[in-house]
Amino acid sequence: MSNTQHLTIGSPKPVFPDDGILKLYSMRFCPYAHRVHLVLDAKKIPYHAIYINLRDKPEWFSLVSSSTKVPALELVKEQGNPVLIESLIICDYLDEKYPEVPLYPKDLLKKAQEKILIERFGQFINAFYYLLLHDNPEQLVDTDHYAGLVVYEEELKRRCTKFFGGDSPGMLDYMMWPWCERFDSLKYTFEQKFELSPERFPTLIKWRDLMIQDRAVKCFYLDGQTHAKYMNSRRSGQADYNMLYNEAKRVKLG
Amino acid sequence: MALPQKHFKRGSTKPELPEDGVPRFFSMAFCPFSHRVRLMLAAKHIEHHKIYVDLIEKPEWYKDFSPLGKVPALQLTGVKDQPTLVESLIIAEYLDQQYPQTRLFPTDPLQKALDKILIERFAPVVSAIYPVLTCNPNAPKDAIPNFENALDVFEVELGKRGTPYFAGQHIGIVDYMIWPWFERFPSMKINTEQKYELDTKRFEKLLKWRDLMTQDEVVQKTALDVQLHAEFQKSKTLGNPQYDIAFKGTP
Repeated sequence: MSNTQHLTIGSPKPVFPDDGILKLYSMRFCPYAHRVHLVLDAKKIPYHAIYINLRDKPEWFSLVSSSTKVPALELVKEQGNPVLIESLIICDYLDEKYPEVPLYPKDLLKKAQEKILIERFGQFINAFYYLLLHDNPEQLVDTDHYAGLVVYEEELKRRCTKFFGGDSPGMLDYMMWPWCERFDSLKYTFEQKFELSPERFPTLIKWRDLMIQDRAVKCFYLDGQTHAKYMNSRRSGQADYNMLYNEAKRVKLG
Repeated sequence: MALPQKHFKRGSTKPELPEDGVPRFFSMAFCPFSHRVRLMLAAKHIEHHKIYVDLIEKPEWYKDFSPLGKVPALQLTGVKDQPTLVESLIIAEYLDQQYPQTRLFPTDPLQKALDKILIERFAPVVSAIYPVLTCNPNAPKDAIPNFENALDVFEVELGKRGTPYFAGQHIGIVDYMIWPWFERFPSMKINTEQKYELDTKRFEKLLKWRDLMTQDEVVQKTALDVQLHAEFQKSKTLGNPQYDIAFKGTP
């Protein structure tokens, strides 16, 4: 896989050949950046991935993207090398600019409804982080962490398709996926097992298993244990952005 | 057929809405996000029924139209199953594509993305000034400085684009999507002790843009007077927001 070393203070700005290939500034464990990776991989758009240490950013990064957030997509073919930010705006742009492998429905109303479901997924994202970053998750035993998922279980059941996109994943599938991938990390992080109930979410569980088989998902997939390891490092205050890089280095040396 | 010009409250009877295929627009009159959709509907000359909802005491029946109780909500009654759209920007984009005469979004994907990013960058402007705008007595001391710093982005951008509107020579989506707040900002001159208004030198281009915007037919058609905005914000501080202030002076 790609070099996942995260550039930090003092890191020189990477030099790339003038190849017209997009540059994606990312962080390996950022779910919002993950969305963009999924869309680029689904559409088979070549790109250079540049990973940024978000705690100690390289000095030159603020010149690349004034927001200094990831994901940031540098459009090297466009005049002035504009940089797009905001995962949903980037993904919408990619779907319009590269219409092969369309991820949104063609019908304008269906497309709008898809975007509303994507926006609404923010409810679950908030609940997920509330749980993940809570000091005493045992206190949350009575909280319904999955309430935000009910509408998606019902929607997918109603559509009677494998994916929200139909026979293959669409934009809604990919925009939801990063958090669903990380959901598996909960059982390695907490004593009590936070898992989806097969009685309550049979369709979503099936969907999740199918998503793991998707080519684009496989390109960037990390298992629950790896996500848990990163998240634990973040909770301890020392986010270990380079854990994969260091692991790969260790394997090479060993 | 005119629907009542009042905000429906909890306990109110579900109104008899005409089944004529004309879209139903659910809003709160002073809601700036609802105002965005109002601007789009006017810009596109889309006939619609207006139904106003009290956001503090929502009518029980409103969940039938907007499951999460959100405004703005646009129910497309001419479509099978009569679906309802929510989220002001999603509705705006849908209306722009569905009614393509007078396009407001750029057709170029890059310019469209840049405009969306600019609209997104308006969020810190709104959140910084919100406590002052809503007459919160505990507004942080740095609310106005933070607001001005965030707003500098738009003064700079307008200068960079070098055009009278953010969209260019003609009004476009950025102009309409940020306009609702600029209609409300002057209420701070009435409601704040220091009679706050935008500095004429620091925001020279923006104030010129604002004056231009007030001349726009669509802006005028959807406008609420600054005095009404000021009165409404004041009513909120007294504990009971008086949404129907919006209809004062209307027959």
